[in-house]
Amino acid sequence: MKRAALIGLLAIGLASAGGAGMTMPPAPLSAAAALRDSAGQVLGQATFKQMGMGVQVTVTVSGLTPGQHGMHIHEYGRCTPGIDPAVNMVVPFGGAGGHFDPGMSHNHDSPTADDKYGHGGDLPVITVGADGKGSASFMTQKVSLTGMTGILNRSIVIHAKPDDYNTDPSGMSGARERCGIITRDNFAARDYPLPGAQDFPEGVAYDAARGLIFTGSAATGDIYAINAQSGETSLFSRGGALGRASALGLKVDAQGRLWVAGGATGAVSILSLDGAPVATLMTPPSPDPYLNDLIPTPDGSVYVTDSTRPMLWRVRDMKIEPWLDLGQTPIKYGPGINLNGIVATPDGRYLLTVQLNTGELWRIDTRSKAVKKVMGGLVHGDGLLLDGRTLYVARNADQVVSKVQLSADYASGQLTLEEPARGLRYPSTLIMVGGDLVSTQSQLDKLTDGTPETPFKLTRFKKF
Amino acid sequence: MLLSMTSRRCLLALGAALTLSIGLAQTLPAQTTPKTPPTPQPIIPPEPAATVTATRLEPVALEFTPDKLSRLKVPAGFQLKVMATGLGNARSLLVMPDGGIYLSRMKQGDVWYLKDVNGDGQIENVERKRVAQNMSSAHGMSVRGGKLYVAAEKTIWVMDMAKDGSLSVPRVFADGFPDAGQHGARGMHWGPDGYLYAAFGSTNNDSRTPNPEEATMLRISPDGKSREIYSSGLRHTIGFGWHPVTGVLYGFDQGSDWHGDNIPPEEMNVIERGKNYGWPFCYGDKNPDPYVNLSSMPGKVTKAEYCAQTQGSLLNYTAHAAAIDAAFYTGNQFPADYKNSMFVAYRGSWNRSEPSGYQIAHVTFSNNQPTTITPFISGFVYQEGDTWKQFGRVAGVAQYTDGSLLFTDDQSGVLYRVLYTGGQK
Repeated sequence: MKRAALIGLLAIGLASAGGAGMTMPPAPLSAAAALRDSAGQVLGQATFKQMGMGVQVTVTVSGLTPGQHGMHIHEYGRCTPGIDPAVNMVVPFGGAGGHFDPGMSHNHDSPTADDKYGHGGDLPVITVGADGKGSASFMTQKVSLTGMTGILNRSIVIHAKPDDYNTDPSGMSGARERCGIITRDNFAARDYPLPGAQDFPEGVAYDAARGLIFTGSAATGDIYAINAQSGETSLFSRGGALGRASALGLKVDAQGRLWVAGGATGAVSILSLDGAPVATLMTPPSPDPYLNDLIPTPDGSVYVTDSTRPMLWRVRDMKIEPWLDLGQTPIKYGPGINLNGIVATPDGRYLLTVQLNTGELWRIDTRSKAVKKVMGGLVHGDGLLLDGRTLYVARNADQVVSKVQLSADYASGQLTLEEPARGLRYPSTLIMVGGDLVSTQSQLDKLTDGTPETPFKLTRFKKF
Repeated sequence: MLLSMTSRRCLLALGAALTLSIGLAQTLPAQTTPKTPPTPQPIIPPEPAATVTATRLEPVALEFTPDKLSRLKVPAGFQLKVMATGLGNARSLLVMPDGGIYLSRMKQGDVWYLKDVNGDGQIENVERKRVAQNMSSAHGMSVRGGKLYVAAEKTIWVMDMAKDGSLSVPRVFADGFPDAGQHGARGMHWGPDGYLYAAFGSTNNDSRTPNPEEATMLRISPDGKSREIYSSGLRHTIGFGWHPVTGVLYGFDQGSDWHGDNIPPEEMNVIERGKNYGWPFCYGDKNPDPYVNLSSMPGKVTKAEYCAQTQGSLLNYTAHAAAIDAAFYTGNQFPADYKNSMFVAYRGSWNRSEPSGYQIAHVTFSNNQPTTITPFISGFVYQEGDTWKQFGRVAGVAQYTDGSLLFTDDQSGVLYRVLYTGGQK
């Protein structure tokens, strides 16, 4: 592992990151938020430093009434007016949403409660003196700057009243008086915003010849083409028709056609260069299909993962057929999403595919159909990107992109880095554009629970 | 690489988040200003209460009899003739180059072949034959490569055509389309791009439907096996066609019922790929419809935000007039002004205090752009004392081989023909 590559990143095991042989000291993972009042004036500052498993939080604020003020991490990275559901009216900083609740506790609790029992975003109150100024400095392990409890690109809000650490939804802490977006220090990234309210961008593919990034909606099947240079976004194919009600994994083939894994529709769709429907390949009707990702190989085959039915499908001559019955292999399907992202080695000899619910990475020999476990530890592994013998894994619920170094025969691998970027909301798939990675922020968790944050976006940052 | 990253970080350190894209410009392309998408909300904010007065008024239906013809208003220089009666639920017309006419009958679920063999301007019984049957709600028809395609509720059928107009046993061309529900009449035409275009109305009146293929124009691949939602938010578009010169696709949409005498107006749309025409939430020029409830707003956004992202209509017409079919006029019999203009069959209202429609309307074009919609053949509906009466529900409209115009009445099964005589009988 090149130590130099650690800059700006969180290494696996912070202890090793501080080891000898560094050409440059590793930048600590840190973030800051400028605290504004509802008029937009900056009247405070919060800083966040990752310290092992915890975060050191330091807050200063001015212009508040003397006494205690509730303080919380809120779910969304925006400090705009928004609806307070309790009164169904627009309130200042309502756009920040409710308290960040990574444990899905649906319960307001004290700053010492475990995330399973209370909002992860429940911070200690801040005490303001007679001069209207207050400060707080504390460590918390309820949140982090990376991983499932990651708070990058979320917001910190200071309320008008004290927090009773008990009453839902926010401890009777009253109106929102200060708000700041938690922005990672020293990290360059670029967003590609999408135009719709239901875009939930799950898949991504890159047509290098045309400089176009394709991304598709898990919710509607709409597929957009994004000019990678200008960011200009246009609707490439409206979703919703037979086999196109959902779009998951996307790939561009050698002819520039776009292949779409249709998720629960059980279909693979192929679209022409202008997005017109070319073919719709239906897998046999059976309960609960979930075609999740696909990969073309040099011999003209396209392999398709099915996350719920233990079958690896293959398309040849525009026909989809069962190719590998996974029940006869070491890959054991369980509840939830099983095989997900899939990539192929450049020669097409091996497929690498990640099992989301078990975190296992599998190597499948396309000649012998032999299956070998490469490694574990990649829970929530979704989309894959193979770059030489480096494998990038989008780990959706973990809000990071993981980097894996593979052996020459792809038979073993080691997790080396995890990149939270500037805050990734359910990164589900990856592409490489130039020397950069582009990750979707699918917010797939919001399909079933909660409200997504718009604009939906893809985020581009330097390969690491 | 390290150096460039470091220098980029220095740049970034100079400013706040707003300058990020400037800092990135050295190594990454410039970022365009993002369009602001609608904001999904945990609960959509309320709208003011809206009260509507709506009227169900079905004019008394009368069978066609020749004595009623004098009630019909025909523009000067034009003459109206009856080519056939007793045709049943006569809906769509498809005129072949040899003068053969395919007629679909929705309620009977069949297709007839009519041909004025003796040239007397009448389709006598011996000049009619049923050529296909057992196709539920058979409606739209289109020809390609010697085959007749028929859109019928959930299925598009294909049949080989013989010279005498007879058809082979129907085969399924494409299947699994939405249920008929309230709007089972399908318009369908092969497009200039070689794809088949078929419009599928909503099963209901005015709320979002779970099947995304409802209330859309679908574009179907030439093999029938793949399709896409070409455009959406079209409650019930049946009549549509491509302008003979510009190639622009125009369609006529039927607006929601029970929203009053004038809301929403009937729409003439320019139908473009990927566009959403607003139904059920918006009508006309992206107007939010005050009588549609918020519970089914897609993406939990406000109606105003939703409508802002939709496509408005090009021209509007009297609410509830209910366009069924539409056809471009490309013949030479009518005065030159009519060339490349459009005729529309408005079948007529049942939901308006003063009935609308019951007429063939004319869309005038200026410089190949639609300008107005005005009545062309009207008078099927009339008031007698306090009672509204009607003797014709117009449905199909098509240009005949001689450049006259044909249209059907699906109530009495009449085939009408409009000729231009310039006042000469």
